[in-house]
Amino acid sequence: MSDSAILSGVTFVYLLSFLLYLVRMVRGKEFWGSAASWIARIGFLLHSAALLLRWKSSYDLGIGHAPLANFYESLIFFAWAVLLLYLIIEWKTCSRSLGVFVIPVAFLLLAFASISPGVNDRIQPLIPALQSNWLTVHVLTCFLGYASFAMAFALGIMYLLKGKGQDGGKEAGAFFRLIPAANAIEELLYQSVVLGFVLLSLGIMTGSVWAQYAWGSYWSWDPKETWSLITWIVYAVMLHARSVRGWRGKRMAVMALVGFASVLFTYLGVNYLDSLHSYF
Amino acid sequence: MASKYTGLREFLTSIRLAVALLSLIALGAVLGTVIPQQVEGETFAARLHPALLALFKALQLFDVYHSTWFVLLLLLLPVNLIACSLDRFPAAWRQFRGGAAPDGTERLADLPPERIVAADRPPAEEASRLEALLRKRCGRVQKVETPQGFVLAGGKGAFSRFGVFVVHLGVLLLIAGGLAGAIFGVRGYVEIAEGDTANTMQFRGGKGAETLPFAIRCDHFTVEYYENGAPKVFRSDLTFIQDGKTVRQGALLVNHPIAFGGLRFYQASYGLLPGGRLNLSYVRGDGKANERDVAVGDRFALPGGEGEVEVLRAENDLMRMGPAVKLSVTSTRGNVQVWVFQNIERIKEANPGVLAQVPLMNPGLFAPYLFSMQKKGEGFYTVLQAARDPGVPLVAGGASLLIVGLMITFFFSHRRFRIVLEEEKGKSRIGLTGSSNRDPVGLENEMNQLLAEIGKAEGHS
Ligand code: HEM
Repeated sequence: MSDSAILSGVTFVYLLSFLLYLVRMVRGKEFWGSAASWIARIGFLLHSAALLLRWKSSYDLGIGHAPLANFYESLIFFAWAVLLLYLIIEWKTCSRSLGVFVIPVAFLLLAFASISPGVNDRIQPLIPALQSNWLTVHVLTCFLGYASFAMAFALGIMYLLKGKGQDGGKEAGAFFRLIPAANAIEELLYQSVVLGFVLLSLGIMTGSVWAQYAWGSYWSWDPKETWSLITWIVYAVMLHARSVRGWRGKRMAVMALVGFASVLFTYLGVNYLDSLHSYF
Repeated sequence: MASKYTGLREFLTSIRLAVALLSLIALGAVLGTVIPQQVEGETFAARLHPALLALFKALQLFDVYHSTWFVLLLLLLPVNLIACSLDRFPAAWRQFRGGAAPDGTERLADLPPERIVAADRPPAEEASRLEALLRKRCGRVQKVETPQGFVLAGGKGAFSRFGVFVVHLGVLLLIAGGLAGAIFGVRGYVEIAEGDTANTMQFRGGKGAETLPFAIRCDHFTVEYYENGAPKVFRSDLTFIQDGKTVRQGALLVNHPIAFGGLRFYQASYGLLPGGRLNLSYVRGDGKANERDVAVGDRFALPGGEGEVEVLRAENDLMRMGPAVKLSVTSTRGNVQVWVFQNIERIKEANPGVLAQVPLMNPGLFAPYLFSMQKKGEGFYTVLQAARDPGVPLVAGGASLLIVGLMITFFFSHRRFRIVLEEEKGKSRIGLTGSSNRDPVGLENEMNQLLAEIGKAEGHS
């Protein structure tokens, strides 16, 4: 079975997991949550196996490289990193409420990778500019960072919904009761942004080292580079704004959404501006 | 007077200014990528409403990165950063040195009951045990005697207070390095045909050229492909020549630059020479034949000093008669142009009298010289990017400091613990308090652990 066939299957496993997380939130029964977690873990194992298989297949083809080299591979790695971080958070915090917000992100990424006709799922050989270990580290750190920001985004949505739910007073159903306390969400959101910020800093730095070796210039202000800097600054603003009075809570949640929008534009939107990094 | 300076100082040291500056810089960068800039901006501008165009022009939105306001923001950022850091450093230093020492007024009654345990021995004995316990965790421990017993204080991770300063120093170095590169850096291209030697570096953007104090010969250029047609290897085999001597030889590949003579060379691109590489030979009367490899654009003087030859064009197959090269010979007699065919003998056989009819095809047109040519396979030229950037060490140092600073800031925290011992009927009651500059969850976990240790040893007595 090919890795892309497995990944198409994993897409549906994540969809199922999301639906179960949703049932848990609506019904308020932990049975559904436990089922959702197990399905998510199985999906993650299959997902990991597919990544390893793809890695191995590239060697069988004689063009061996880590599966981090084109748009398709970045999408599936992004989704994998989202699941990895989510499962760690679920295990550490013993709370499943984030699942219903995060799993759809991974599902959409994989669905896009499998369905979109513009995305080539073939294993391609590396052109000379991509033949560098710095590329691997660059993609790895950037996408782990993006995944952290995806967590912050999901937490931001959860935080804002919690605010809305409280306005609903007593009628607020199981859904809102199952969302953790606002300050716990906020702390986790902050931690996710911190982790994402460190990883994105590393990602930009390793990308610069690679560019310095490949093109003789660590920074060329091409649109993708500029947008990664913009994203980095958005999160730097967020970290500083916390120290300004009155900026905690809801505003942080909103900034997590803005930051993630910037991440998505850096990742996808920039393809519509012309760039060295353009995937299409 | 004083209040005016205080106001300025407050402005420059405020984190609000930092937030505003960073936000505006991000906004400027967004505009710079979304609005077509400089030359491209002109066509875009033609499509705008006049009022909008005037606004865009006033805000210099067609060249954001060089606009007055953007440059001002970039200059203000380091000022803000330095002012802010200087302003806050003394406080961080005090915190690092330990902060407020216990003053003996700490009371168990102020602590939550879940942070208090009982012990069998009197405070004086328990205190020495707990002092050792705390020292294992914190290094230095302060001990203060109170009317009721003792207070022990210790802290760990105090260095993490400096993380933020390391991050900000890193940012400053990055800015300084970028600036140094922009001002003192040199970036250009060296184009060399396979087999040729070059010593001119063309600056980027057609801004002149520089003659290098050494020459580079491209001995060979290779391009290899994968089965699917994608390129696999671009490689220039180079020889660096100084004062006529070979100083260094090496293969230049993408991602494997070569440093020489204060410059770094990168494999930037390549191309096929028009007409490929050729070997031109020319004989004067019945003298000795001269030979040289040439490419389009080359010029050389004839050995007898009769004139100068320039290679104008080269064709792989001119008018179905095979490879040919067009030469222009300039001399005191004026300018003569001639096509030299590789297969001239065969052409003459097939079309007797052709040279008389078409003098342009006569290789002996410029008497007393006779030219002939031989094509030598496909010829490549390689384009090396050459760069000298004195900012790179600063940028590399700044980036490293930034990363190290972030790790220190985020993955460590300054935790301080106090243990309060009070005597009660010859035994002790022991309480624990703690504080931290970040990571409340981590602090909570460590306090629980510490409290368990405080309580555990009590079992042995
Ligand atoms: C690109 C530029 C900058 C970066 C990457 C940066 C990065 C950081 C980081 C990572 C922190 C730690 C945040 C936290 O603890 O959550 C921080 C804190 C801080 N930054 Fe910056 N910074 C930048 C510019 C500035 C500027 C221009 C100022 C000028 C005032 C500034 C002032 C501060 C201060 C005062 C803190 C301490 C905040 C606190 O203790 O809560 N930063 N910065």
